[in-house]
Amino acid sequence: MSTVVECTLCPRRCKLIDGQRGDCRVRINLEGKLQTLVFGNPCSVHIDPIEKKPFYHVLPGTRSFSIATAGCNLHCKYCQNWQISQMPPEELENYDLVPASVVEKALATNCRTIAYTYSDPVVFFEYTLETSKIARPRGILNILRTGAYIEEEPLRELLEHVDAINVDFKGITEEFYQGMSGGHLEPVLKAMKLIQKQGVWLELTNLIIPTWNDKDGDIKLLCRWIMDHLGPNVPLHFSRFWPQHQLKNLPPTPEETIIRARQIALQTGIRHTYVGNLPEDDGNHTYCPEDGTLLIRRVGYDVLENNLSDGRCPKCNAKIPGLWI
Amino acid sequence: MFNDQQNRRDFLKSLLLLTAGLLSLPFKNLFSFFRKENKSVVGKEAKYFRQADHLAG
Repeated sequence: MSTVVECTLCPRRCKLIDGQRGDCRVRINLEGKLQTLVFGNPCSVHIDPIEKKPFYHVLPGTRSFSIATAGCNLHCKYCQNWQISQMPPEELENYDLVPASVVEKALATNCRTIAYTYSDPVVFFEYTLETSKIARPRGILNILRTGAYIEEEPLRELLEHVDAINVDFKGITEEFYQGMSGGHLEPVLKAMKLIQKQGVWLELTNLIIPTWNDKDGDIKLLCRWIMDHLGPNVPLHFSRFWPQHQLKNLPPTPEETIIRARQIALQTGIRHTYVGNLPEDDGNHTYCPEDGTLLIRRVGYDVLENNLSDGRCPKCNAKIPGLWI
Repeated sequence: MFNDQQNRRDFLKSLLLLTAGLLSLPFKNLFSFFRKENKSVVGKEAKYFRQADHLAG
């Protein structure tokens, strides 16, 4: 009789018979043992500005060595990287890059961070963990961009080795998570609270999609939850949707919607709120929440001006939350 | 208006571009210097699983 294995990495809790893969396409039951098929085999390796992740309060103006493997445990209809996230590894061309090599290449290319991104580092958990363990003692920060659809125990282990996480906070309703991503809201809320509690730097991104989560009420609800559970200092990025994957029938988000969302967040009390995919808008800049001084001026992913002094406003000396040095 | 000199210049430009393209062909692998063929996907034991007695449903 073949042994059934239950994957306890993410809330899906896939139960797999011998030879069967999980929902993520990258974890498989082989003779009663769960195996990952993507360790040391990223399909994407790039050097990006850290602003692209986006992280606006972590080492601004620096470059990030960015990796991803095939697979994802969510299936967002709007996914911008569906060509890798919704594929099994053998259908992609992969690099041969063990964790130590990732760190060496990051150092050789003068990157101060390694970003685990593009698809979702939750599904390449072991690769992220091992690479992070090697990177940190070498002076490299580990930064994650994730949907945070992960169980508590593995998340706790990961948090011991990573420095910053940008959570893709997709929506504030269970209906949105089920209908748009094939997941559930509650585990994501729980994960965000834990990330902050463990002292790992947290930023959030909310993609605003016309007709799905673009009503003022949705945005207010999301901001209210952030204020109540994470506080006013978590940077929030509102990103503009562009028709992709299974949502090509929808128009791009109007620019005014993104600008209005930012205003709502600021009125709710979230102190650092940004626009995304609107490269020339003033909502890309970082301002001092105390006196309104322009601290970091950005156009797109470029930092044109950084007036922070030791992470403080040069005028009123207010401490600006983030990882600046 | 027909212009012999202009035509000749355009022709030479096209020829130059074509030659440069052909000459660079052998070096195209420079752009994928550490990419390897995806021979086979090899598994490594994962963390966070347990043996279950049965399948639900």
